[in-house]
Amino acid sequence: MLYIVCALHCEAKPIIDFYKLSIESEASFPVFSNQHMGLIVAGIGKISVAAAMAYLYARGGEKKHIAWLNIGIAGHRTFPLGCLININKVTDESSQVNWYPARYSELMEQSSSLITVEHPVESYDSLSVYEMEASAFMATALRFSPVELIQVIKVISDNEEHHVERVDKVLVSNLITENLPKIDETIKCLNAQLGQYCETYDDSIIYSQCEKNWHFTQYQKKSLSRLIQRWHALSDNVSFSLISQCKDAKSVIKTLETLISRCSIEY
Amino acid sequence: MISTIYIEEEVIDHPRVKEILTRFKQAEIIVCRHYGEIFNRKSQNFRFQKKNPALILAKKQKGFVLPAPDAYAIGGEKNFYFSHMMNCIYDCRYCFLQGMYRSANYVLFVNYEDIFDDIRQVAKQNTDHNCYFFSGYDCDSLALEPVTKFVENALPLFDQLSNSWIELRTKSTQIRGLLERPVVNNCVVAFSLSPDNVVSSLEEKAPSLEKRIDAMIKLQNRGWPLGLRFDPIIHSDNYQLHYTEMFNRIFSAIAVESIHSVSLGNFRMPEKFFKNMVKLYPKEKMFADTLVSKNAMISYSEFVEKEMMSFCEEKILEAIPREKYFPCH
Repeated sequence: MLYIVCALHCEAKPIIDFYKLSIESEASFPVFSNQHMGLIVAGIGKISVAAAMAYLYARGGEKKHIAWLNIGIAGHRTFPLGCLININKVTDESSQVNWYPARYSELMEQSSSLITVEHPVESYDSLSVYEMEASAFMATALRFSPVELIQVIKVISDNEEHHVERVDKVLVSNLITENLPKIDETIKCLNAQLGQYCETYDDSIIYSQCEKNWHFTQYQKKSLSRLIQRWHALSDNVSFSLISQCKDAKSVIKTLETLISRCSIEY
Repeated sequence: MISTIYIEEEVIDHPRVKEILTRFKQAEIIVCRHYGEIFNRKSQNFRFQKKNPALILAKKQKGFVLPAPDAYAIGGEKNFYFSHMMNCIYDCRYCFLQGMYRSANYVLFVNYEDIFDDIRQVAKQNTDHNCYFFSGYDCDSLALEPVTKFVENALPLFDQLSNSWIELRTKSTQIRGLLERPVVNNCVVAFSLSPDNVVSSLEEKAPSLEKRIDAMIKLQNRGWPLGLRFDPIIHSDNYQLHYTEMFNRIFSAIAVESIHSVSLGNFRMPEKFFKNMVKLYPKEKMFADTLVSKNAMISYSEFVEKEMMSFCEEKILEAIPREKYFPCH
């Protein structure tokens, strides 16, 4: 599952339309989704983003593999309006803590560091991108997912020549809309990574078949999981039918141990 | 190809950093405060990072030279190791680095001179002993030499240290620098060696056995002392066949006079590292073999260990005198 986090509805709207996301909930935070992705409109600022992400994660059933994408507008001293920036470093201005989202060469066309500030800035003191949520996004996303599944992209909405007070909802939606092809590239890249994660680390279907058929204690579940992994590693002939006749969990484990001991080890 | 380079603020103007950057003009440069911000952070996946590791250029602050683990001895009275780099360009499934580090990015400490000062100091404090300094503990000593030029910088120091040896441990064929310079008699170029089937199955991205033997022959012809490292030996149903074939090839190509030392060791891994490795590679055949835990170390069963060690030991001692043989326990 891919989760997209936006601060404002006008940032989210073009994405919701592009991916045909349906409203799922409006209770605490507006949440939109389709089969493959969820989008939450968090509100402005770090606390809102952290709360929204925790809400989305819990609401989604604390899934094992989630990719996270923060999309929003930001300011920069010189970057032109509408420029999409892939963020390579996030600094929280208050705490001076840094985070480094994963780098993918196909997404590095234009990249920059970013500073998350408490209040909108009128002057851009460094050559970083300025905004108000990404540090909380990084800190929270890293609680749920590895850094390889986390990306931050920002669209420039203000600079020294186009000040922040001139930014309105229509402009924001237009800027995001113009960048939908590049946003889609980022989403495809993240989804590809996510797919590889799931393929590598998802539990075997045999594990869930075992759980359905017999009762395992927590300790037995741990043994079962590792035995099934070893079985997959050592044998091309892994099939539930080979253990389906077992009468209880204990005999499943015993049978798996026997099957594994018969496997040859050759490189 | 390295596409991202992180640089610690403190070394951004270091001449070695500037030189390295000239080799990677297309790379994205990201300044960081401390390499640990990237390298030590939780929530990263070594296996996925290994597909496209970044280079981190940093300054080592302390612990330049450390006492070596006992198993590292190859005839020295005092053994030390140092790490100018963390991580390796190869992807060997049995390597402890993947269980020890959270990140697969390469960290290169560019302040070589601080390491050299410490080596000089340690050698001076131990003038009554012969000292061995091992360089390939946290990385491959030669694999990134064209970029780091660490060995090129280190060898003149060992030319001056009469009581000290340096071991370069490698699977690499990056030996051009060694072939182009005078031999340093107290430098052992030690090759980690495995049978073809282990190389192709468990040593991803590493040169073939044949290429390693070719590199050793070239170094032998120039007079460099060679080390042969059969550590870890990997169990399989037909290991005797594979190891016999490998020993025959190596000992028919390398003259005993060129061999400084041969070491042999079983697969052994701190349990904590092993658990991390299994998490990264849950369906890895090698980790699915019958392994046992003893004193917080994972290894083959005592029976398998003894059988493999004595089999390989016998083959090695058919080819070299016992004083050149160093089993790792």
